[in-house]
Amino acid sequence: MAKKLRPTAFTFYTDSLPQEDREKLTSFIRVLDRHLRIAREAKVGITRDFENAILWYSKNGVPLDAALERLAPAKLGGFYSRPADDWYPLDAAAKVYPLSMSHKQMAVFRLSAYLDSDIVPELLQMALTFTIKRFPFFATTIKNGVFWHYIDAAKRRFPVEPESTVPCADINVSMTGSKSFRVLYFKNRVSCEFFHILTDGTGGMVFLKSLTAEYLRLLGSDVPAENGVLDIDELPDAAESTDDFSKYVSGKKTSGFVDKPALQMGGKLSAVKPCQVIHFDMDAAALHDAARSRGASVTALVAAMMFIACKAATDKQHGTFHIQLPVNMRRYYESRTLRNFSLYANIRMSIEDITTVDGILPEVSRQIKEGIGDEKMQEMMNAAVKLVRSVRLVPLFIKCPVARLIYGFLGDRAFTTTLSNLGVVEVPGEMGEHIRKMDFVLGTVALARAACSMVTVNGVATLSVAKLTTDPSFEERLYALLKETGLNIRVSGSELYGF
Amino acid sequence: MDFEIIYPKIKRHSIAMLYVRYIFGLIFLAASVICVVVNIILGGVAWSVIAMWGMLMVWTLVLKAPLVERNLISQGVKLAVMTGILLVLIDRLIYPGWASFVVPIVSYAALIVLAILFFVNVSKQRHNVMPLVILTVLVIVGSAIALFVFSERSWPMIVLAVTSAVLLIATIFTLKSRLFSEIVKRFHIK
Repeated sequence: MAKKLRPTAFTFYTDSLPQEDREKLTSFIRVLDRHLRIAREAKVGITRDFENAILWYSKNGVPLDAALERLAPAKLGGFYSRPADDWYPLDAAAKVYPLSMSHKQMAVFRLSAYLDSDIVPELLQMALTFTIKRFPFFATTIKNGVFWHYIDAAKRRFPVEPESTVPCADINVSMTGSKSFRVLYFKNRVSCEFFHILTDGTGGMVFLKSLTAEYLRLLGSDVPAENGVLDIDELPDAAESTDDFSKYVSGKKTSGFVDKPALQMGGKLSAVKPCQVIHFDMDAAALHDAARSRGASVTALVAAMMFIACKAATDKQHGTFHIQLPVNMRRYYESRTLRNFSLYANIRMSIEDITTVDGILPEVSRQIKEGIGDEKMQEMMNAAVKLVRSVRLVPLFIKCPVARLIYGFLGDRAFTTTLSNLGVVEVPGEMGEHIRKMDFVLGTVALARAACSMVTVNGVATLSVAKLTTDPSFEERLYALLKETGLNIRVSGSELYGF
Repeated sequence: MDFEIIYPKIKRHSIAMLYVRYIFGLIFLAASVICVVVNIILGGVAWSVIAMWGMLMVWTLVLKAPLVERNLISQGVKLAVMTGILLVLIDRLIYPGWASFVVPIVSYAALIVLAILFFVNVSKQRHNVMPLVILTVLVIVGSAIALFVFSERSWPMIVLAVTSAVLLIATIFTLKSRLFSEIVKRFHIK
């Protein structure tokens, strides 16, 4: 006896339609079915996503024809109708992340956009389903090779999830087909969290903007594909998934990675990582003016404030603070890659030399200028690629524990905190109308008590601090220093997690 | 500094597993040291090696789950290999003479279970096939050495050699060029 299926809300909706509309819908589902040649479970899930989106449109008064046009299965392209056969070696920067990850530590970062209304999960899900095909190397799962990890195509349903864990929580990448990123929503915020093997902040931002643009289109806005928003109906470009480190490595001169241990801030390390996230929203123009009036860049001004805040967050009298500044290599080289293409510069300051913002700003500016010079970056890139090539024939089971040991001893101890500034993010005008602000949160590492990151959009600069200790000295001093420059600051954040 | 909370209340963040792992790590470490010391003091067979291997098995298979590619086939292969080594250790250190008969039977059983896991869902499990292929090749090489070098011609060894060869051929036949591309991926040095 055939099993009788329980009628769903979609069945009731279909039954309520006039014959003509029902036929349209049947035809739509038939076309959709042809686009979904994947495992049954994934197929059922994606079909249900379409149904939920159609129901949402119906409830919100969008005519069926308009709904079906916005959700046209053709927007899936051939992504789900072809088997998952692609694979990608990890880029030179990404190789270290799976080697050094542990059950306690994973390199995850997060980018969020705050829209002018609450997120509609049904449409965000469809936006992700349509967008993922344009980023094929995101639709992957990490695998062990004999010598290196690699990412293997995984054509599955990529679900959006309501926020329910700490920001930048570890992503479970261990199961068959596990994804290395997640898309989350909470109230009016849509967030993408990425395991660093996939991309860096710049690539992640292109994904977030393209996803948000598609979401707004599904809501009825006409958002063009410009200003870093990719046309999701275009075929993916091979240049977007290349390892540009290998492409631009040149010359023999290299610079070392090993640095002296940095002085760390005080405060007991929390078991939950991060234990708190705090955002400082400021007027970008006012911040820019404050920096310019001191003859410095915004990054230098914030870094100088961070040095003073670091000093306020320790009882130590001697030692040197190191701030790690990720550097976008796309500034130096013609690159369209959406994968990792960033290195870092270190700026250092002895605790005895830290006086006032104006007192240390010239030195901070000098170090930044020197540290991110063309030659220095080229040397670091040469060193990174050389290191990767020199150990390429060492089996993974040897590389993994050694890398974990070295990273634990040298990597995390080498810096006190991080300042990653993504700069001013351009968005199409039609999209900008719906975006209030964005934020960028770095996952915390083993020792550094705070990780700072910054992004500016629509005239709002958001400085975020991810904390690894309950000691509030760092952010309180930072806040006071920002206030002293005359900036009007709106502070938001999370509760203390795990306490 | 007052601020607005803009994050939801989270589900209790589970760090219990970290503590469990930490506590068991300490227990296993202490137990290993005690076993070795007691074994040395009392003398006799090196039973502490078997005790330590048993703890390593629990640690590897249960407590320290792999961070990448944790699936039934990879865990099954690991269990089969570690069990085989445990049996050989018991044979060599405590009660000799039976491992060459029992280990092939256990390996045969493991191969059959893993083969069933693979063939009932080839489209999904083809992504996890490599540990099974490597195990099969190792078993073929191992049984060939046992059969032709050490003239260990017991029926379980012959059955194991034939089963693993059939399994390897069936896997190659099922996956065809995909198996080759899987090998290219696994051995890449880019």
